Order: sequence, then structure tokens, then C-alpha cells
Amino acid sequence: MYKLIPLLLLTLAPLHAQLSVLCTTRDLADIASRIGGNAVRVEAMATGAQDPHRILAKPSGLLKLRRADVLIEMGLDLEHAWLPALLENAANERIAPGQPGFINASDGITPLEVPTTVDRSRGTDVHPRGNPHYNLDPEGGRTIARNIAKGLALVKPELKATLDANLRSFEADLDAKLKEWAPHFARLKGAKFVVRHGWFPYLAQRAGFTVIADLEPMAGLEPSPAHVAAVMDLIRREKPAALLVPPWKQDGITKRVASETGVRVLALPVGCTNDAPYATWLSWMDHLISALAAAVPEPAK
Amino acid sequence: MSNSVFGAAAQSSRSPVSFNMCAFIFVALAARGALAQSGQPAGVQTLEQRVADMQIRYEGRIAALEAQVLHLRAAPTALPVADDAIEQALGGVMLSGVMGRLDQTTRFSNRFNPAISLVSDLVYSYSSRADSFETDNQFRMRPIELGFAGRIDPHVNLIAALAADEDGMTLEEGYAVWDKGLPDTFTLRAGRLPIDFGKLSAMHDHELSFVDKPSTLQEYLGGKALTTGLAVHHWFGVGEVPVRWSVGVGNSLGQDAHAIQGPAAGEQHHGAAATGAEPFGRRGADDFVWTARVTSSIDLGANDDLQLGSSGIFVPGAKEFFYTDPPANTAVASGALGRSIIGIDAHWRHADAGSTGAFTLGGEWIWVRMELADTSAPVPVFSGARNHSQGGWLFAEYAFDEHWSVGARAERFQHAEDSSLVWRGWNCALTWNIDEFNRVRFELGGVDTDDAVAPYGFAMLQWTLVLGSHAHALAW
Repeated sequence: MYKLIPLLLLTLAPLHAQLSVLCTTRDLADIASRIGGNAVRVEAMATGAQDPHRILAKPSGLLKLRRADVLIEMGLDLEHAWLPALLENAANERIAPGQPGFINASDGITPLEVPTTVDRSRGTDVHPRGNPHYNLDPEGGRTIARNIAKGLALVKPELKATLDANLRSFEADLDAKLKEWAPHFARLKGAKFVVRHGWFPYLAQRAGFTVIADLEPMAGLEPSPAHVAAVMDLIRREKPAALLVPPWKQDGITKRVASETGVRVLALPVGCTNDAPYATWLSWMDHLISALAAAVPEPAK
Repeated sequence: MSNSVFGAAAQSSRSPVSFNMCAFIFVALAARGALAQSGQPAGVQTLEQRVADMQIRYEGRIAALEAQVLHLRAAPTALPVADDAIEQALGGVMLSGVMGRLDQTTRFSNRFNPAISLVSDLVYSYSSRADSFETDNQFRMRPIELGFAGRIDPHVNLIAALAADEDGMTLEEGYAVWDKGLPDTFTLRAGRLPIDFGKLSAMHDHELSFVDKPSTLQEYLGGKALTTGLAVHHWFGVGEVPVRWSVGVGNSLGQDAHAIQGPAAGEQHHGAAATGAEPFGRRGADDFVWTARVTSSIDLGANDDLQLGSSGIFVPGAKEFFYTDPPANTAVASGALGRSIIGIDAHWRHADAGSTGAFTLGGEWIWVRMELADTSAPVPVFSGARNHSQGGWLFAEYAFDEHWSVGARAERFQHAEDSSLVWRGWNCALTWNIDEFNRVRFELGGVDTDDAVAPYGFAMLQWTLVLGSHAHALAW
């Protein structure tokens, strides 16, 4: 019986050797799994089916943060409403901002929509450092992957070769996807969309489409009847390819705009989720870009 | 290599940043070379370190400015990156007065000021109660909550909430939280503290799902229980279940009195009788209030969580002072009144991850043992007579989304000083969160009591506004 103990310990050893990596979103978790491979045990605090601005701060999150070796956040204040309070209470110095175990995946992103003044007259969900939804851009994924590889190597330098190899593999897959997506981007170039919240500026810049209106008049505010009417007038005039909404915004306002203008509604997760076809960041991007391109009418021949 | 040297070099020109930076690095390197030749090894080492630090800082700033250039080239019509945003993105590398944008020390800087906020709460209160001239059928402005919070040093936060109204300003809360550097997850709180009792007692009024705290809490604790003292908090995990406990000690059991409706409205709370007699003698351990709480939050799948808690407040025998020779009022004596309060609480929340709606069902039950003095006689009689009473509430709230919610609450409790008198009440509230900082609420309610007051109904329209940087700790 006692002879089995060393064997048991040997079996458990790899579990202990793994870095416990906690990610604020599923996108980060998926990419961290790709980069870290077997050397990491990854968990996400939210999925792309949830509004990342409004994740409930639960005490169970404290335990996850307390036990993590590494915390990866999207940054640009995306998680400011819930992560700081949990992080402060978790009392885990390994993942405190400034420590190697704290990875801000937005490091190196050139932020869009940085406000010139930080003022709540411009909306209540103001992001002083710029729009945080860079995960909806293929190159945003590359930045995330590189930051994760760099950050994990700081925590565990002996993994550097493995991390670099996994990063190269991820980037190769991304480059292959970018070639696949090139026709979609060509189709999206010049297309017009209406959105509900500013999820798409990075992808719009990458693919060359235009967001002609936002049903959310200012970040964090519900549209007034006058704003809805103005957007519907614009939709009738400009005939955008679709109205893009996150899954939790398929409400009365969205339905009314769709029924009164005839605009097509695309309800798409804003990050990868736990389920197919959005289970990995690449598959979710694949689905997102394909869906947007499919919404654009074929040019007349 | 003084600050003034850098100041002169930097202020001599209004030319682009790169020129200033080059001049700065040139002077720094020249100084380093000169000192190296003068044979002062200790000084050289310090200066080398400074130069290295400055290089890192300026490299960071160059990177940010280059990012701004790239950004503008990529999207010429996009908004430029604000200087403040660059500073924040650099994680404070430009925050020192010497290295700051103005390259000079600022005498009066706001950089280290705490988060400051102000909460305004205006209520129009209608009541059918016959004796409500002073309190109802009029606009009521709750005392404005002026909040300050910030870090003192790497170890300690300081949190303060002042309540201001037309009569003046009082310190509602003001306490230090030593949360870094203690073992494990221990924190120490010291100052004017909210007592850690149940789920709702420590909450600020503007955090509630209804206009007021439950009448049961108002009756037994005065709404929010407060004390001046110390409390130790700690949490840990039992498997995947977080558990938190706290113990505290304070001078006495105090409360706020900001309720619009309920037993504590208009400061009508049942405290010990105020006799006006001057205290004498010395305080003993029996005069202190002792508190304890243990709570746990259990995730029931991805969408549900259940919080269970139990709390206690124990005042062994707080002294009350009274005159023994009324109406001359020259001789003073004291008697002790003990009080024990035990509570249990349970809250279940269902929040579908795919929507912004949520359903919450919660309740608390409280038992009170109170020693009473007979104040009907000219001289109060401290006979050790006790009253045991209990009561509680149950509430449900459904949030349709982040903007709209409805809630209902029912409660029943026995009078703290006379358990034969029972209070029954109900409330229904419709809440519109216009945004995070602007909320309107309409609430209806009714009360039926066994005392002399006839059953009555009330309606309230509340408008709550939050100005500035305001946040709360994780409430559990």
C-alpha cells in the first residue's frame, strides 16, 4: 500500500508543476491555453456571451484570484467595474498589478476612440484609455498572444522555448486565417453597419467597413425615443448591411428598429464562448468575420 | 545635477519633446562622465542609476508618442491620444514632479488626492398616517453623503463618509483598512465603522433595492449599526467555497437615522432613554459592544449563487446614567442595560450569464434580548427585566436588464421593548436605473401595527444621484 504513495505523488507532480492562469475572458483563456500548452491550467471568469463590462463580482472570484499564479486581463479598463474590487480583496501579491504574474494583454495596442476629455457628459461607461474591444480584431489576437507569451516567460523562464514555439504556431494559424479572410475583408470594404455599443472600431478599421450609427447614443446610456427615430431614419436612407447587437441586447428596441426599418439583425457574441462554433478565439473570429461578410449584398455584376 | 539644472534645460525651449529629451539625456550623460573622471565611485553609482532610470522613463514616453504618431497615421480622422491617457498608459512613469510634463515640481498637486464622491437622495414621501405632518407629504432630502477613499500607503486605505444636511455635517463612517502586509487574507479596520451584521445593515442607503432599510433592521439596529472601534476580517476557502468571518469591538452600539419610512424615520428609534445626566466613573469591558459574523457564498452552477450568514452583536451591560433626585437633578447614578442581537441571513441570486437580468430572493431573521429600565417612575428602575423579541423580512427582486427592476418585501417583527406589539409591513418598488449614477424609484407600502397607530399606507418617489468617483467593497 505504502509503496503506491511515491507513484501517486509522481502522478500528481505535473498538476503542481502547471501554472494556474486565470483570465478575465474566454478569449484570453483560449489564447493562453494555446500559448501555455500543457504547462498551464487555464480558467476564465467570463465568456463572450456575457457583457464584459458588467460581470458580477462574486466571492467565488476571490478564491480563483487567490489561487492563481498568473492573471491575464484585457486591459484598457474593460474590467474596471468588477476586477479591481476582487483583486484588492484577493490579497494575492503574485498577480498584483506591476508583478510578473499580472499580464495586461492590451500592452502595445494602439487604442482607438481615446477621449480627449474624461467627462461623464460624454457617457457613463467612459474608457479614458480608449476603446477596449480590440479582441474583435485579428491583429488584436496576435498582440494578446505575444503579451501572454512574454508574460508567462517572465513568470517561468524555463518555459520560454515552449512558449515561443507555441506562439509561432498560433501566429501561423492566424496568418493562414488572415489569408482565408482576405476575400471577406474585400467584401466588407466600404460596407455600412449600425451597431449597439462600440464593439467594432478595431475590426471596422481592419476590414474597411463603416459604422454609420450607434443605437447607444453614448457609452452606457439607453437610447432615447428621439435617438432611435434618428437612427431609423438613417437606416432607411443608408440601407446598412445589418444591425450588429450582442446576444443580451435582443430587446424591444432592437426588435422595433428591425421591424420598422427591415434592417437585418446580427446577434453575435463579442468574444469566444464555451460552445461551438465560438469555442476558440480563432473559430469565433472565423464565424464573426464570415457572418459580417455574408450580410453584405454581393455587388451587382 | 540638481532639479533646477533639469528645470533650466527643459524650460529654455518650447520646442518639441524630442529636443528637450535629447538635452536632458545629454546633460545627464555629461554629468555622469564628469563625475566618473573625478574619482567619486559612490556618487557615480548613484548617478548611473538615475541616468538608467531616466532612460527607461523617456523610452516609455517616446514609445507612447510614437504610438500616437502611428495611430494618427493609421486613422487620421480618429481622435488623438490624450496626454493624460499616455500618462496612464505609461503606468505613472511621468508622474514625478521633476519628470512631469511641465518639468517642474507642482506645489499643489491633485495627483494624490483620494476618490471623492457625493450622493444626493431626494424623496417625495406621501403617507396616510395621521401624525405625519413633520415627516411625510413633503419633499425629504436625505443627508448628502460625501465620500472619500484612497490609499494612505502600501498597507492602508482610508475610507470616510460624511453626512451633511441643513443642520450640519456628521461623521457617519471614517475608518482605516489595513489590508496589505497582514498574514493570509486578514484585514484590520479601525475607526468609526459599520458593524458587520447581516447583508443589508452595513450597506449605504443608496445601494438598497428599496428606499429604506427594512423596518426590522430599523427597529433592532436603527438601520445601519455603527460603532467606534476595531474589527478583524478574514476569509478563506473550504474547497471551492469561500468563507468569511469577522470579530469586532467598539465603544457602543450606534446607528444612522436617515430612514424616510419605518421605526427609525425622523430619528424615532428606540434607543436607551436619554436622561441628560452626565456620565461618571470609568468604563468597563461590559460597556463595549462586541460583534461577530460568519458568512459563505456558494456558487450553484454558472448562473446561481447562495449566500448564507450568521451575525451577532453583544453588549454585556452598557451603562445608562440618570438623576436620582428629580427635579433638582443634582445626584446621578447608573444602571446597566445589556443587549444581545443574533441574526441569520440567506440570499439566492439567479443571473443568467447570457442576459443582463437577474432574480434575487433574500431574507434575514433577527432575535433580540434587551434589558429594560422602567423609566415611567421619576427615578428609572434598573430591575434586570428583559424583553425577547424577534422579526425579519423576505424580499424578491427581478431585474429585467441593467436599467429596470421590480421588487417586493414583506416583514414582521415584535417591538424591541415589548414583544406583545407586532409590526407588519410590505413594500413594492419599481426602479429605473437611468445609468450607473442616476436612478429614479417609485415605492408603495403599507404598515399595520398593534400599537396605537392606525394602519397606514405610503408612497415614495425617489431620485438618487451619484457624483464623482464612487465605489463599494465587495458586499458579502
